[in-house]
Amino acid sequence: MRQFQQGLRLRDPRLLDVVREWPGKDTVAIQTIFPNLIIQQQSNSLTTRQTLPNGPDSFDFIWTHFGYADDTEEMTTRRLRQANLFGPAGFVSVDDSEILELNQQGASGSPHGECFIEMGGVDTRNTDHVVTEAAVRGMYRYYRDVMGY
Amino acid sequence: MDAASPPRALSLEQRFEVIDLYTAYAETINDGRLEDWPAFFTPDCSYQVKARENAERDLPLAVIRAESRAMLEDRVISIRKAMLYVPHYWLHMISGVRITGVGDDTIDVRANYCIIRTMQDRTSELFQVGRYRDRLVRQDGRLLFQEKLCIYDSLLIPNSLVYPI
Repeated sequence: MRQFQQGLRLRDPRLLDVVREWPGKDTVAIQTIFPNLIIQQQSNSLTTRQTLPNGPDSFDFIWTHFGYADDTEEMTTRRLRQANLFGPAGFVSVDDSEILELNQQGASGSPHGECFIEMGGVDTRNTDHVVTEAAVRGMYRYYRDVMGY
Repeated sequence: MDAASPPRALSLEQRFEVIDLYTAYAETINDGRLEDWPAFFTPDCSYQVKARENAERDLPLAVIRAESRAMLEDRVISIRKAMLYVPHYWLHMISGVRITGVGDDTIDVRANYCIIRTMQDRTSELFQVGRYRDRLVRQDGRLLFQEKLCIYDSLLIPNSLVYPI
């Protein structure tokens, strides 16, 4: 987020006027809660994301942005500004949803065949890198388990 | 901005100037000339795209919030150089342009918009409908947007909102 590409600079830097709210050097914490909730703090943006399935080919994606009741007006403005980074028009989130739709189109292109995407193998073991879809496979393995199929 | 009170008189030429501004605004985006889009705004402009639900409940969150022309320029640079998205065309249809108030230096305007999105290998589809609540101001002889509030009706945005409303 600091800099996507060499040579790109904000003309109005207020978008990234980030203040530290928590001890430590980390600025991002994202927690997925089974089966369909994601809670995240990124810089000064506090959000939840929920996936609401409509069927096998579509889901609604609900973003909710939070502030604290005792935030100063300045902090509220900062959070509202940083909301430009996330959501359907977000500087850092548009790529994700666009790529996800392309993946879905690719995977559902042959309705009479089957398709699977195996990045990082076919199992759900832990790895020391994140170039793997083990987390998605693990989610579906558990989902099938609790749903009984 | 009381809808019932008649606005102070603008000349016919001034009214046509307002209509021309909206036509040029839509044409600029429809043609894909995004680099020309921020020039429709004052340097200290406010530009927001907000769900009708939030607007009617007076909630401040907007999916796009810019507090200067420079922030609009940043968004254009992001669209061109940073964001990844499926290429598409936009067609803005702007209708019902109505002058709702005339101040010493400002003109308040309401209008409706409808955006039709076309992916090159699909039929055109309705992307979003909503309304503008704008304040215009004259700077260096030219009408510019000092405030533009775009309020869209459906809470659901079809995947991504990339180009300007």
